[in-house]
Amino acid sequence: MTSVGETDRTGFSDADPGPKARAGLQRREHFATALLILPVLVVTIVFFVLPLSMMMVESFKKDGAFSLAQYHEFFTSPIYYWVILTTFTLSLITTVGTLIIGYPVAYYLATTRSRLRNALLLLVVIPYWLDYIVRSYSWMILLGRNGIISRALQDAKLTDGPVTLLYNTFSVSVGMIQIMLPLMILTLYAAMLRIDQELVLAARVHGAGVWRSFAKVFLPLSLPGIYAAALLVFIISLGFYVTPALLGGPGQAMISQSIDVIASRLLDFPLASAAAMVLLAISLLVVIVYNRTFGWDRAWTSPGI
Amino acid sequence: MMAQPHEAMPAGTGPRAGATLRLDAISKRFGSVTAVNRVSLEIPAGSFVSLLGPSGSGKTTTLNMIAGFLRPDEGELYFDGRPVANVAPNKRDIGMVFQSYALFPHMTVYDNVAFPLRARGGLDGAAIDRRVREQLEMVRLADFGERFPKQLSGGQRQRVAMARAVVARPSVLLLDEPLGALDKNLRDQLQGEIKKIHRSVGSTFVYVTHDQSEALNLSDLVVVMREGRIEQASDPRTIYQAPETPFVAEFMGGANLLPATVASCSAAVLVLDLHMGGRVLAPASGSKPAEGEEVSLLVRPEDVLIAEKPPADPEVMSLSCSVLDVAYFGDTIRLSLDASGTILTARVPARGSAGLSAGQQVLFCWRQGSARVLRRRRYKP
Ligand SMILES: Nc1ncnc2c1ncn2[C@@H]1O[C@H](COP(=O)(O)OP(=O)(O)OP(=O)(O)O)[C@@H](O)[C@H]1O
Ligand SMILES: [Mg+2]
Repeated sequence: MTSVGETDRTGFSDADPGPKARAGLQRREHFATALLILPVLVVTIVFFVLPLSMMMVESFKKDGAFSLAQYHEFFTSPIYYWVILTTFTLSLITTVGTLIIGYPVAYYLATTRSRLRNALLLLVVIPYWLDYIVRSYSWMILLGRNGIISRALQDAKLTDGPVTLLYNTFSVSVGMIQIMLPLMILTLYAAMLRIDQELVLAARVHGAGVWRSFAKVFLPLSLPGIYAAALLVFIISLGFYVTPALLGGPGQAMISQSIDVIASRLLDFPLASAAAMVLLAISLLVVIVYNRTFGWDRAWTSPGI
Repeated sequence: MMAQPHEAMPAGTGPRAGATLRLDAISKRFGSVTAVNRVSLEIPAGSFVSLLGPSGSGKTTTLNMIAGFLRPDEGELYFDGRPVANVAPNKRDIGMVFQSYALFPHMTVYDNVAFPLRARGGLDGAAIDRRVREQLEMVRLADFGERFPKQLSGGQRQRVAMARAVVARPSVLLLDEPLGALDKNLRDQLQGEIKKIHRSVGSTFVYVTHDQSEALNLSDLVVVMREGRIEQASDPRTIYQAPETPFVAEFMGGANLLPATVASCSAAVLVLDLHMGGRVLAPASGSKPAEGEEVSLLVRPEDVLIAEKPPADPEVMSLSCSVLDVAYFGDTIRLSLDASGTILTARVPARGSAGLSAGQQVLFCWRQGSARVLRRRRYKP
């Protein structure tokens, strides 16, 4: 340390900035980091934390005093019980459906050396740019009474009159799966790109056939990707609004629609707030339980013991 | 530790001794690049062969064709006389050590090593367990079975990769720069272990490297590759002492290569005009070059004599030069010399060379018969 002080005095300070200068540099870096984070922080607080807090306060208020009345009403009413169950069921169907369809597509995209890859990627992404409403309407055209499928069935004399495939669990599931599919594929694809293809070759050369090397090496290595993609799709599906509204009947009402009804028709903002808080709590709970259950892969994805 | 290598063999995994490998004019192109160009090679069963060459010379591509990851565009590959072009990698009875090891990150060391035995089938759980433990013992990792690859050091990972590659006693073992990622000390140590494993398992080893000392130390046969072709395939001693081409001599390192033009080749002795100036005699060994042909004269550093006065013996050739640098290696010293712009190297006994120092004018001498004339390899178009 004394030598550093000496060089400072003799004027050769740019060789080693010295402990004081170094501390200053660190402080300046911290300041720069803080400055860079600031806009995000402001946006998060103004558009996220504040409204959420206000909603939370609202949900616990009745006639100006603290109360659990809204939550009591929400949890004792059979309607909302069904709504939550429907929300879960539809989200689960969507997650499983997109996974089953999306996994092979993502696998092909991640492993092919064909020039078709970029074209296919584009095909996957394009629908993602279209609005939910537009995509949901297009399913109405396909599945409705005068829709293409109904007409085709009539032309083929398979049915007597027009049929509607709309306003049931099937139509909502189809719509939601189609909307969430790009997200599922892209998330899986990104995860699969990180899998070292040489590992599959290593499996092959050491005696594993095509199927075995997939099942024992590629599939387990893609599990973290599956978990991430499934969680993402499930959580987003929980908050779906437009698609079940357009393609579903009363039986397919999801929690977001209920919140809308409570708020804009019944004008019961405290109850709507409580319902929103329940949706939030459910989402958080799903994330926590999910991470607990599927966190074991960290044993081999993190360095060290 | 390395006992009974041949008796505890799993059943149903093919012949136990190494396979004979034959590459018959195989080629591989990637777009406009010809990565491997009509390579023919015969590898005897149980031998240790090194593919040696600079980056991009087609070593990995050749190895990948042997493994079955790539299909030759032309030519055929034979294992023990059987063509294998249509045989899947998992049916070729091979093991492989990848440069980055390619250990399965989601499996423990034990499961990694057990993988080939389980995948090949034909062994029950107890037999697999016995083989895996034996193998882990052999690479001195008996206590590491429960670890994941991420929890191992580089050298330990290398040994796991080695164990996985040989556990099923494949007839062919492919190694793609298996020591490339390790530091010098570890490399030297593991070279010895690889050699030991080769002796104890008896497979045919094909070893890719671009480190010539590794190749010379380990192999029975060294194959020097250049731009997708075989430049020379010989035993280590021949490759080092009697390189056939300037490229091989240069790649093996240390040699003085003097470019020259053949002035006359009528007698048993060639007369060469050195490009750096001067006319010298050289022995005519092997195929005789034509008059006017461009050749390289190879003078090994250990064959050089340093003199102050021109030698009287007409058999001794000499070039005048100045000493650039003197480096001591105990019993010998290595001199860097400048002969009108060409840098030469000499290795002379330390005794009696005490007076040499940088800047001094000396004569670089060698006996005519100790040099070699190297012709450039010409390929048929
Ligand atoms: N998959 C590929 N696609 C296109 N070109 C390739 C491919 N693989 C190899 N090549 C080309 O073929 C040539 C030989 O490559 P190869 O990997 O066999 O060299 P190498 O001898 O193993 O080199 P290194 O010592 O750097 O590993 C190189 O020019 C390389 O660019
Ligand atoms: Mg290579």
